[in-house]
Amino acid sequence: MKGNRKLIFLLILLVVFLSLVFYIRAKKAVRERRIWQEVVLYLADFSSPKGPSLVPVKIKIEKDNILYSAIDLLINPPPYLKGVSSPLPEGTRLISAEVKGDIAYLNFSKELKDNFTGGSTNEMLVVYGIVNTACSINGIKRVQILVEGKIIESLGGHLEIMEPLEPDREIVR
Amino acid sequence: MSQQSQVLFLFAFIFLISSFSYPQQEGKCNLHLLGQQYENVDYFLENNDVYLALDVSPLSPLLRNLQLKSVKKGGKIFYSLNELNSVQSLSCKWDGEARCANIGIKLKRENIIWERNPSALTFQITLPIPLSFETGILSNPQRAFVDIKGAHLYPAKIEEEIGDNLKMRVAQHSISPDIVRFVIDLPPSPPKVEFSPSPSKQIKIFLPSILSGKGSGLEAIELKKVDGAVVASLRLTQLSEYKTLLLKNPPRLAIDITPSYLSPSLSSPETLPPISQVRWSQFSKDPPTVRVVFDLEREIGVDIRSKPSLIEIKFGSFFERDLRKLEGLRIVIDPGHGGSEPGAIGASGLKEKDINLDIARRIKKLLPSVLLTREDDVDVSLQGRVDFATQVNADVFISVHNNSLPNAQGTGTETYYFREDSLELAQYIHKVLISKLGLPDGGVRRRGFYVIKNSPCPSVLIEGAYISNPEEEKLLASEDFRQKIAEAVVEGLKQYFGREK
Repeated sequence: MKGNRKLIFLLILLVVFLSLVFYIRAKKAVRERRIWQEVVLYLADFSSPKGPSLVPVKIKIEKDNILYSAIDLLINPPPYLKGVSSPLPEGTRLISAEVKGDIAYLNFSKELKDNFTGGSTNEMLVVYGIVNTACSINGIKRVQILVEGKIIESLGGHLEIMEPLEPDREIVR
Repeated sequence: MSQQSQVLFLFAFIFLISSFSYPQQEGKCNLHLLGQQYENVDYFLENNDVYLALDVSPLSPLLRNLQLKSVKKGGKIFYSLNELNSVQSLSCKWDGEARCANIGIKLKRENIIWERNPSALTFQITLPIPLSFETGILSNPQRAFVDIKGAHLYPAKIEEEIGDNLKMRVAQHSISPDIVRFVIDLPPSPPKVEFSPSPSKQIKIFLPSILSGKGSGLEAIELKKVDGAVVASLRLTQLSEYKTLLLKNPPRLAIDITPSYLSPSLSSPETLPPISQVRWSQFSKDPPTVRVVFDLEREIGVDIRSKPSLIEIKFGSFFERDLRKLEGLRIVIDPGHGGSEPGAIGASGLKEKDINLDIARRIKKLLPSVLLTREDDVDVSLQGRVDFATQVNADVFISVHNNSLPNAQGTGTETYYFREDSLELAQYIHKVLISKLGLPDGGVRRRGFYVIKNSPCPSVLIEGAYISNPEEEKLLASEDFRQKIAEAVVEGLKQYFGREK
C-alpha cells in the first residue's frame, strides 16, 4: 500500500514534468513558426590580396524588422564569420531604419562620420557596405544615408551621399 | 527491476533528452592554442562573442604590456575571443557547431623569405613566437614539406615559382587543428634538403648545392648620370654571354644573359630619363636566361660594353623632354580634402589634406601652367571641384589623395578612374608612380568616386601611399617622397600627351 502511494506520487510528478516539457516544446514550435528571410551582408575584407573589398555573406534572419536587423548585423557581424569584419566606423549605431517606396532611409549616429578614419577605398567599403546590404532586401532599390537625422555631403570626401545611392558591384569581391 | 526504479529511469531519460534540445550558451569546448590541444575548456557565449577560461601565458610575448579584459565567473577567469583576435599577429576562430576555438599566429607572405646564391637556396619563415612544426620529404611528385602547428594563413594560398623547376606553395592544410603546410616542389632528381629543428621562431629550409655551376647571378642594376648621359650597370656574379635587342613600339632595350639567374636581393633602381622603367624576369629556365628590359621614353642610341662581372649600357645623351606641349593644356590638379575636412590622419598626426596640398604645389612648381582646385587649406565641396574643372574647360583632371584603412592596415599605390575615357590616363600615371615610388602595386582600379565620376574630362584619382601605415606615413612626411609623387604625375602626363594615338 505504502509502495503504491509512492508510485502514484511519482506518476503525478512525472505528468507535471512531462507537461512542462511539452509546454516549452510547444512554445519553441511557435517561435519557429516565425518567418525567415535571406539578406546579404556586405562585410569588409581589409586584407584581401586583390585589395580591400566587400564580401557578400548570406544569412537568414527574421523577416520582422528585417532592414534594421540586417544593418545591425552589419555593425556587429556574427563572430563565426572568419576573415571579415564590419566596414562601419567604430561606435556607429543605427538610430532608425524606414522604407518609403523603394528607398531605404537609414539614420546613423554621429560616429558614422566622426569616427571615419579616412581613405577612399575605406569610404567605398562603408557606404556600399550599407547600400548593398540594404538593397539585398526585396523592394529596396536605393538608400539614403542620414547622420543624426541630417543629409550630409560626404563621410570622408570621396563619395557624395546627398542623394539616395544604388548598389555598387565593383567593390564586391 | 521495481516499478519505482523504472520511473526514475524514465525521468533521467526525459531530462537527458530535453537538455540536448536547447542551444548551449555555455559549457566545455575544445581549444587549439598555438598548436597545443586542450580539452574541456570552459566557455560561454555573450554579445556575439566567445569567452574562454584559458591560460594566456603562452601568448605573453605577443601581449607585451597589453592588458586583456577578463571576466570572472564561477571562480574562473574568462577572456574574450574577439579581443584576443584584435591582438597583432593573433588570429582567433570559433566553430560554434563543433564547439572548438582556434587561436593561432597570422602567417602572411611577408613572413616568408627566400634567398638564393650560387651555393644554396634558403627559405626562411619568421614567426613572432616559437611554434612547433614537422618536416619531411614526400614523393610522387618529390616535395619537401613543413607543417606549422598553430598558424593561420592570410591570404588563402601562396604559390610562387622559384626557378630551376622549384615551386613554393603555402596553404592552410587544416583549420582544426590549425596547420599551415609549406611545400617546395622539387625537380625529378631531388637535391638534398635540410630543415632547422622544431620548435622555433625561425623555420629554415636549406637546399644546398642546387644552383652550383648554373651560371651567373644578376645581383644589381644601377642607373647613374655620367657626363650628361645615363649609364646602366648590370652586376653579375660572373660573366655570362649576353644578347641585346633594341626594339620599337614602345621603344625599349632588352638584354638576355645566359646562363644566369635572378638574385632575390635584386631591387628596382630609381629611374632616370630617358629610361621610364626597368623590368627583369627569369625569361627561360633551360637554358637559364635572365631578360632585363629598359623601357625608354623615346628611341635612342645605346653603347654596350662588358667587363668581368659587369655589363654597362650607355643611353645617348640626356635631355629633358620638352614641357612646352604640356604648358598649352588646361591640366587641373585637385588636392583632396581641405579646411574642416582633414581626410585621413596618421598615427603621428600627419593630415592627408596638408600632404595632398603640398604635392599639388610641387606639381605646380614643376609645371606652372597647372590649375589647382584649392591653393590653400580651405573647404571645397566635391561638386565645387567638378564645377572648377568645367569652368576652366579642363583637358584632364587629377585628384591627389593619400590612402587609409582602419587599424594601421593598407599598403601601396593605387590609381582610380571611372569612365573609359580616363583609363589610359590612369595607366600612364600609375606606371610612373609605381616605378618612382617603389611601393606595392595596388593597381589601376575602377571606382565611382564623385570627382572622377562627374568631371567633364578624362580624370583620375591617385592614392600615393597609406597614411594609416606607419612606414608609409614616414615616407609621406618626407619632402623627397612628396617630390617623387609630384614628378611621377608630371612624367605620367608627359607620356600620356606624348603617346601615339
